[in-house]
Amino acid sequence: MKLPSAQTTWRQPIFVPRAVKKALAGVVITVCLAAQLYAILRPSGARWWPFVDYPMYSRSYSEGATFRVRELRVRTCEEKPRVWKVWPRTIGYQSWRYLGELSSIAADHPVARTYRSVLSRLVSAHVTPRPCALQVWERAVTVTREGVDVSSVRQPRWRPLREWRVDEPDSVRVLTRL
Amino acid sequence: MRRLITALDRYWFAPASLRDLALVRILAFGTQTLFFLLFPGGYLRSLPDQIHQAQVGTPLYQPIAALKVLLLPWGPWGEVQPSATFLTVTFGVAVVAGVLATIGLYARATMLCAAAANTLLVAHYYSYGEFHHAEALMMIALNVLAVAPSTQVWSVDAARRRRRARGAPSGPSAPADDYESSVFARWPLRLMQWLLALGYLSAAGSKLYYGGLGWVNGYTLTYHFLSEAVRSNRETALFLASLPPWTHIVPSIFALLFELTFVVAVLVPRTAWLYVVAGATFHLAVYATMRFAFFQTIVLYCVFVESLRLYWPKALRSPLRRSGWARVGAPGRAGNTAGAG
Repeated sequence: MKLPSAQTTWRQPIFVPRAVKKALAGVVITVCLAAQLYAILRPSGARWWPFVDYPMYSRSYSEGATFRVRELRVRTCEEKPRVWKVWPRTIGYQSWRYLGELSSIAADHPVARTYRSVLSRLVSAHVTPRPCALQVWERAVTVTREGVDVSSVRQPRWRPLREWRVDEPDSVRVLTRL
Repeated sequence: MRRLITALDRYWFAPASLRDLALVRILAFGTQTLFFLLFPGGYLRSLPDQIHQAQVGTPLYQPIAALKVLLLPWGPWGEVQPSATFLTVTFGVAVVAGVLATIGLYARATMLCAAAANTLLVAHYYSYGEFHHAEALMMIALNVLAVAPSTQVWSVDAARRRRRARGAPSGPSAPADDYESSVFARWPLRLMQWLLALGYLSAAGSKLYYGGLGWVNGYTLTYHFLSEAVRSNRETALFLASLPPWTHIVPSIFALLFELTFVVAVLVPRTAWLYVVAGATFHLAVYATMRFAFFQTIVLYCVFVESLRLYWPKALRSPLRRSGWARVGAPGRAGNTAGAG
């Protein structure tokens, strides 16, 4: 009688009873569906990612709704101060978090101090030449019954809202009241 | 109770075509590896983006649970931040394992590696306080496909097994990939169908819960076009925002109804083709106007492959269907119903 070689034996699939395989598949199905349902019914952001809810763009708006977008600018303290925009990517941000934090700073939310502090630290580390102040600027466009006025988008009017010194996140100055 | 278990067994484990599952494996791993992972500079968390994020964004690092789990072998829970070298190696593993998983070579190991590496990369990118939704279902799909019999046919492993079997004496240990169907070929596809449907239900439910019926008033869509036009300087979005809001009422209703009723595609397989066509159109239109890329979702529509094969309208039939593939796995016509799991 010829015995199977070691290699042939290694290649033999491990026998698992079909019922056990079905039970294991059942566990995967149950866990995935339960996790997805939980993520939908108890939304908690990315906590259980990739099981997430899908609430994007779910708020509704009506006539007169104003879209506001903010950006971070920095200023030098030379005799002729220079001001320029800081792109979120430059300081390690992705766009939505960046916009959210700027909105909080513009609205003087209690958490704004923390955000000013983090932004100051990141700007100090990654922006050259090193600026002496950070500013939040805003532009706004309104939805009317006729739609959006294209010229208001093409020729945006920015206005400065808040400014603080890069080394002192508490030194916030109100440039324009909301 | 016994009847319920029988019904569940029939629903999830009725014999289905292994080719369908293999097709989904090829499309999912193939597109994720060859397109989504390597897509330059953007949505797809390319290697330079990953490394830049890791280097610059350290103060913003807040690892999500999925990343913490995957990084456990390298340190305490939540305390490891991947370095540029680690990310580069992971990226290499994702590409190599992804290609091997797509062609089905050493498939069990390579599918698991590719799924883990992709999940780690995307989870890492989402660990800086911001996350997006496009990849979530694809990551689940890769992991589910990795534990399913996705390479029993249409894979290098299957071809090698067949070649070995031709040289071996026939008997009860003949390889299972001679079969065209398996009781374990259906559940991964059904599971992904339900996850897609739940995702769309979540989107529709959120719109109704947070926005109410006002979501379809036209102004809402105008506002979203405006936001994209301003944030990203998109001319198409700006043009659409400049139209009177009433012109957006019909597209809004379409989007809401599509999301709300997508579950019908799962419950009534005959309608799946309609939802697949509508869904692909919907996501492509959203991409064309607002650059929200949900290409992975479009790819994942392939989990409806059985419904598409069986119920694709005659007028739109493809050469594949005319070739007779449509008969595989059709109720009562499956070639062999033995399990191949």
